[in-house]
Amino acid sequence: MHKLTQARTGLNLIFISVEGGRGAVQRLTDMGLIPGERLKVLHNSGDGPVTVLIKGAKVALGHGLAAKIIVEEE
Amino acid sequence: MRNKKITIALAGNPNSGKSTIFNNLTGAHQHVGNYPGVTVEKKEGKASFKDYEINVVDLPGTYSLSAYSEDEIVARDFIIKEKPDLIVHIVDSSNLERNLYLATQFMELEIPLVLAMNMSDIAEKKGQDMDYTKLSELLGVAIVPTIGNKNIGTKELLETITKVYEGKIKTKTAHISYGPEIREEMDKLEKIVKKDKALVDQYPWRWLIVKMLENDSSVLDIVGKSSIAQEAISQNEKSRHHLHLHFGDIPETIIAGRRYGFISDVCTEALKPSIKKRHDLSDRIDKVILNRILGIPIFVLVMYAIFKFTFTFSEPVVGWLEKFFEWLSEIAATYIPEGLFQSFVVDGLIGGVGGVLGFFPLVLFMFFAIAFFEDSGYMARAAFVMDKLMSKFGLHGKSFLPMMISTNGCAVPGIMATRTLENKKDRLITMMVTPFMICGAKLPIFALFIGAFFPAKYGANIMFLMYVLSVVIAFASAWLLKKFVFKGETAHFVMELPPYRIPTLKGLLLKMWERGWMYIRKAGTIILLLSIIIWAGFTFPQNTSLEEKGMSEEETAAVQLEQSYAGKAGKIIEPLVRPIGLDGRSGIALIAGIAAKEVVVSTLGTIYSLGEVDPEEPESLREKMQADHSWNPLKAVAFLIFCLIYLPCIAATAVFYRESGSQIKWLLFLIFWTTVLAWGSSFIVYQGGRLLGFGG
Repeated sequence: MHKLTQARTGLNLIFISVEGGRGAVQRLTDMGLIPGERLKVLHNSGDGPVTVLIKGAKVALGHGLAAKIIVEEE
Repeated sequence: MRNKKITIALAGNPNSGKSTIFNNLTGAHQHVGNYPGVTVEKKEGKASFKDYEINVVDLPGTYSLSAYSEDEIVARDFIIKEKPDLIVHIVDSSNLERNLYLATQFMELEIPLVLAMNMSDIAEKKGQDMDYTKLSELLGVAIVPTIGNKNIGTKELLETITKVYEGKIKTKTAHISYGPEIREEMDKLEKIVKKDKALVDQYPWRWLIVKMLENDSSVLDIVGKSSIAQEAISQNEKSRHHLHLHFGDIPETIIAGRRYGFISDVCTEALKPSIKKRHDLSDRIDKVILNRILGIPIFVLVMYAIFKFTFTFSEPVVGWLEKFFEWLSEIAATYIPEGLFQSFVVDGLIGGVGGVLGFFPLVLFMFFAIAFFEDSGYMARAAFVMDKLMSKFGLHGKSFLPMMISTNGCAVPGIMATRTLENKKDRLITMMVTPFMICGAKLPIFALFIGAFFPAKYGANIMFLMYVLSVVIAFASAWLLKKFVFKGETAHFVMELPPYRIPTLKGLLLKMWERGWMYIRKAGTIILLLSIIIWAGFTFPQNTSLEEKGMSEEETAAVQLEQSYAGKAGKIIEPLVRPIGLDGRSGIALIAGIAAKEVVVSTLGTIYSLGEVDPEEPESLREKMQADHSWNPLKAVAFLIFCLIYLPCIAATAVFYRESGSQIKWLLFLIFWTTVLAWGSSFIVYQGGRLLGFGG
């Protein structure tokens, strides 16, 4: 288990949780990110935003939010 | 033929091609307004089909119907309160599961639903083989495949809408099974909620109780005001607590999970997935555009292209308009006898209308260019590229564009460009700081003062410092506003990056016209009114005895100006501007500058009895000011800094007022903030400079 910001580009991950406020949880849920959901890191430069593939759609996550997302390697 | 009127709501995710379908359905018969009290646009249009007149309301694009964003609340309130006859949900078929999440929420609202499976061609290309009949059965809603950008399926969609309305297509919306644990708690709430007849007459009961379990603040408010408030709220708390313990997670996450589970089951049955293309063209383009080294230069290039397009192409049109209004003024001056009425028509009315329309080509061309990059899918990436830098100052990645449009350009289209920002706080902050940039109208003031008080070899350096200062002030203001005024949780940057698409000309033109027209409709009248008020301030009281004293026309104009209401106001504020090194005459020029910034130069011309001074060629005025010993370089710098920061011109202020949701509090705040900041900065520079021995 580690933070999404630590995940390398190209990795397939499983979403575990987000340590954010209600708003952040809701936004992620709307995008299809619920615990157990698969996602793929499309682009992560390490210090900027992270782009991921969720349910076939590309989603960009700000660095701040990505740092609060806990994932597990598939 | 009878004309049956029905109202349908068009809903869907952002990037689902909703506006294309809206355009296909309504053609040119659309108009844009605002939902009351919010900045969210309300687009409506009419479609005729058979003997139906269909009123189509385009709801804001949303991913969900929670109570977290203004857009979602607006969409949901419209459906619940206005009760449209039918909801048409535009689904991006190539992104099915996520799009159907919104559909599951509509399904609970007990209003007939039609799904338009849009972009069905792209889905097919992706290798998605969809059994629409099966999908329709499983969801219990009518389904029509469409390809919006090719206008395919529009007629079928209208056909289905009318048939569902007439009851010829019978559907029974499926109910999501939330599982026995949640079902048990729902039953308890159902019994309580149904005791209040008025409540369940107004709202679908199933939607109410699911939203209660999801801890939805506005539904809890509604229930909290009903007759069963206490019982329902306390049961809901017990139920939520119970579910939290049982599942080890908050009920809203569990409920969302069940919805996605339902969708997943439905899709597995209705879809026959074949080989999926892993890397499409979008991925390859993104490798370049989102590259950490290339990303920012590409971004700056695109922004520069928008800027260049806007100002290069609008220039001749603005020129024609100027010529036209000059011609109109001449005609008016010829046919109306000299005097107050002529002055009113020429300077007040024609000048005011000319002022409003002068911005119109700028606004149109800018929105065309923005629409191009929005519809092609670049804008979402642009925000992403700049987010890291901009977020340090409490701004959004998309805040860059309005500021860029304003620099050397104009704050009016700049403020309009904040429409690309979704979050209200981000928008307000950006709108507040955009006018600080050095717009084209401020340039003549800078040219005049720098030319008059500094050696030519330092000119460019001082100008450059002024640009740097404008950026520093804008970013520092944004940071302060975020820290002290717009506090609270920062909007988390979550944004879908839609696949790249080639925009359609029709779509671009419609978007351009719709947003451009908004400027005329909303800001035009205010700008005109204020122009006339300012004209009156400088024209009254009339002093007719001057010419008899043998004064020249130029001298008369100078005395008339000083004795007008605006001139007197300049005298009144003299004690206020004295600490920043200015006098009553500069005060008058500053007041006049509120009409439009370049007017500062022409007003100074009048004050120095030079008659009409062309702001573009102020040589005579420059010499006069150099000869005036009440000025010195330090005072000139203080004046320029004040001009840089103080109240935006009336056009920008009017647009700000309208775009911020027409709320007096934000207008007052803008006036207060810019004035205090301008005065404070000039004060520090002037008094500091004096302490250091500059000036005198």
